[in-house]
Amino acid sequence: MASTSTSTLSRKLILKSSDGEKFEVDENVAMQSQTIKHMIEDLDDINSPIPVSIVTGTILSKVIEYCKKHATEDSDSDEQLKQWDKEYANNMDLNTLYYLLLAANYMEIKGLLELITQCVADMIKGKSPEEIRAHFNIKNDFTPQEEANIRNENPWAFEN
Amino acid sequence: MNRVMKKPCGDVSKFQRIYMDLGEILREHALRYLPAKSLQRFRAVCRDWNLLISSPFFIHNQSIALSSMSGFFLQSPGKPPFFISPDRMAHGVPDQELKFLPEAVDVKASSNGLLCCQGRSGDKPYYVCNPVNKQWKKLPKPTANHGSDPTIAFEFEPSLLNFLPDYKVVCIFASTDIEEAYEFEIYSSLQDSWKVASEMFFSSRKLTFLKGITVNGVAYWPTTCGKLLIFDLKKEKATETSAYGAFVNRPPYGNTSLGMMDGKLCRASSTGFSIKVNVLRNIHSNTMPMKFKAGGPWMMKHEVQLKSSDMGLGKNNQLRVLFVWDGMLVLEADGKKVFIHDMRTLTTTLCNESPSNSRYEVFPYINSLVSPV
Repeated sequence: MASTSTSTLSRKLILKSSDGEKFEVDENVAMQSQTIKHMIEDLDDINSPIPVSIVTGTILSKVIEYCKKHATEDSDSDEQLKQWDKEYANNMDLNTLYYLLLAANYMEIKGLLELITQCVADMIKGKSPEEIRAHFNIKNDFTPQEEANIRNENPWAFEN
Repeated sequence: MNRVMKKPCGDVSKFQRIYMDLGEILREHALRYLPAKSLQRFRAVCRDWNLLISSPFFIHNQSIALSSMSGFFLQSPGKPPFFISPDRMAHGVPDQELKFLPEAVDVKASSNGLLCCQGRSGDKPYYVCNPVNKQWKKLPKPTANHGSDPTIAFEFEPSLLNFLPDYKVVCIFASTDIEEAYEFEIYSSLQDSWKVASEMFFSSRKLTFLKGITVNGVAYWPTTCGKLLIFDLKKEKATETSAYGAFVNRPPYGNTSLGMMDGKLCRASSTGFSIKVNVLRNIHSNTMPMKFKAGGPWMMKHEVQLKSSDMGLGKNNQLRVLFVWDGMLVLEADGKKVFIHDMRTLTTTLCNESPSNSRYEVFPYINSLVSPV
């Protein structure tokens, strides 16, 4: 997986996934993650692998794919980039999307987080409150009366 | 979050925790991308979500973050408006006929979740409303006479820093002082008053305007003689397009409709079940050639090939483009069935079936929680 480009213009960093997979990336690619940016600042030895402790290799490779695309500003127009984003997100199954969401949140990659949350929002918008609770393991903490009140306030929102 | 991430734990609890975190991340980041109908429903998920969705700050953020189209308001002359959407579980309003307004209205324009309507009685006042929360504002009386069926443009742009809704209504009217001149009166919500602009537009003949649309702060009004009048809402400057040839077909609209695609003014036309969407080239560019090659000022952008069988129609059915806005096409077959075709998902949904031929005005709508007052 690791890139072996010998460009001397940009420093290389090594990212290490939770399952031990290593990825060599350009500094400007990795720096899109605020978390990694802060980690580098605290790092004595730039050559030692940076642990991305909660992200598996499979997911990290997808994160890097996104960061690489967004690190090179010059080649694509906004429109092309948007199209690329759309195809990137559309090719994920739900589980991958969730792991990617966790990774983007942990690594603090704003663009990726926005892209994935928008995509997830699109998938859940037609669901019922019960489905949302079950799916995301959210506890219903309303009293039956409270819940009934909310439903009665906006009955139209529960009908097709 | 980080705490969970740093401590590795067994598979089962890790899985559970990840889903708990997901709920939190969603609440924090994804809810604002949801349309109003989903949000009103998701208030019943738990107390935390209910509180968040009801908070003014969230409502403000949602009106900015929400960008995908919800559907369209349709209205035929003299009838109440109604709402169509390809996904009625996610997008909707409690009162599509706008009965919450003090009188029956004609919808005149829409912008980012707000509708601009005009009353049918008395002084025919303008109303700006959000059909989701039934909030509305009656605009003050204009200073000039806009005529019985005014041509207006309406723009509302939610802004991160501005909690007060910032919208403008522009009306073009024939000047009473100068023959064959047209004037513009502009209402600004921040000032809450009308003001006649210093800009005037002179025409060599009397113009009749069709329903206009506003894209990125610029209003476009087609005229019955096939030209476009363009009015920049910020600069308050008007330009004509006579140098660039006919923009739209002569009325009745034919198979051509104006709309917005990729943030630009566009023109959609149909031949059989094939639909072409052209976007306007940069009309304000000084380097614009005096004469265009084929297509004139329009640039071919999208082509959609529909299958009559997918729509439950025969090959001989007449298909007409009523409207196009941000990736959604509103189509009408034989003057009876109204479809929405989503150009992103390539799905076509039958949204309305009326027994008689009706003439619809179409207004794009997004399900925003924004308050117009």
